[in-house]
Amino acid sequence: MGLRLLLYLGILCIGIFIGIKNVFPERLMKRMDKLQLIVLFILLFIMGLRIGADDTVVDSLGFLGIEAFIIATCSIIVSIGCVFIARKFLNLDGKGEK
Amino acid sequence: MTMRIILAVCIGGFTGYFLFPKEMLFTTDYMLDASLCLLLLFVGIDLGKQKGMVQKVKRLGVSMLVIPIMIAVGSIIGGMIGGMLIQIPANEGGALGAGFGWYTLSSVLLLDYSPKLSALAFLSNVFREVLAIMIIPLIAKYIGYMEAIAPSGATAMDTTLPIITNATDSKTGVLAFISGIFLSMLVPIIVPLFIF
Repeated sequence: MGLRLLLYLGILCIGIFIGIKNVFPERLMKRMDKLQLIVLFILLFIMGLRIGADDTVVDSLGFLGIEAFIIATCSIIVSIGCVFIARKFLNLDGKGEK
Repeated sequence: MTMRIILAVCIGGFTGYFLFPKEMLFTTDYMLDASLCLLLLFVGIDLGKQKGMVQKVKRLGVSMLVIPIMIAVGSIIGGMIGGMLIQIPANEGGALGAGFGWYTLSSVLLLDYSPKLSALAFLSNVFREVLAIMIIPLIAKYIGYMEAIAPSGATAMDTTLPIITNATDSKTGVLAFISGIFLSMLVPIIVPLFIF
């Protein structure tokens, strides 16, 4: 976890540096947007693949699937609700601006 | 975007279940790491390109602490409510919610306590990540940018970060990353507290 965090932070910082210095020409940046989307879909595909290939997940889907789904849905809904309340309390608009 | 996201995950799921040879599964570790690192680099470049980014982040101020705390509180309460619905004790429901989507760690933390709860932690947090991937664009569009961070939980610092930055703006991306780190650090502290 610690090492991983450092790796992610490091990569983000390298990216920010590249972005500030504007190393790449505008035309290349437009292409990068497309590349970014492609890599995102590769990531999503691999995540799906790992879940589909995981026997623990697939085997327990039958008897624990609905229970797990209920837990996941409840935590997501209530956490969205809590953030919504906090945002209203902080007087911020939908985009998080004052 | 949401449809395409769902499609990508589902095609992956079917490929993994029906086609992909299990002995090759270790290669997905590298592919996942590589694509994640590449995406984080892109996220970084996007952040760097924004003018006045530092000021915008500074203006986030107190939200940097409030948002992750609210996500933690909401996830735990949600886990307890869900636990009540499936008739398990409130502390066990809270432990499931406190996984914040980090399925590997939360299931390991609960393994000694109960194998069944551990399996449930694994599956419910997998669901949380998958559902987060699918609904983040919708939440960002119809409810708000900050709310779009909530479904991700701990995964806001890695796997779901590119989706958040894609659906919101760079300032929210920074907030998501900070929130993801904060929640990831809380998982190993809070989950054991519930089963103590």
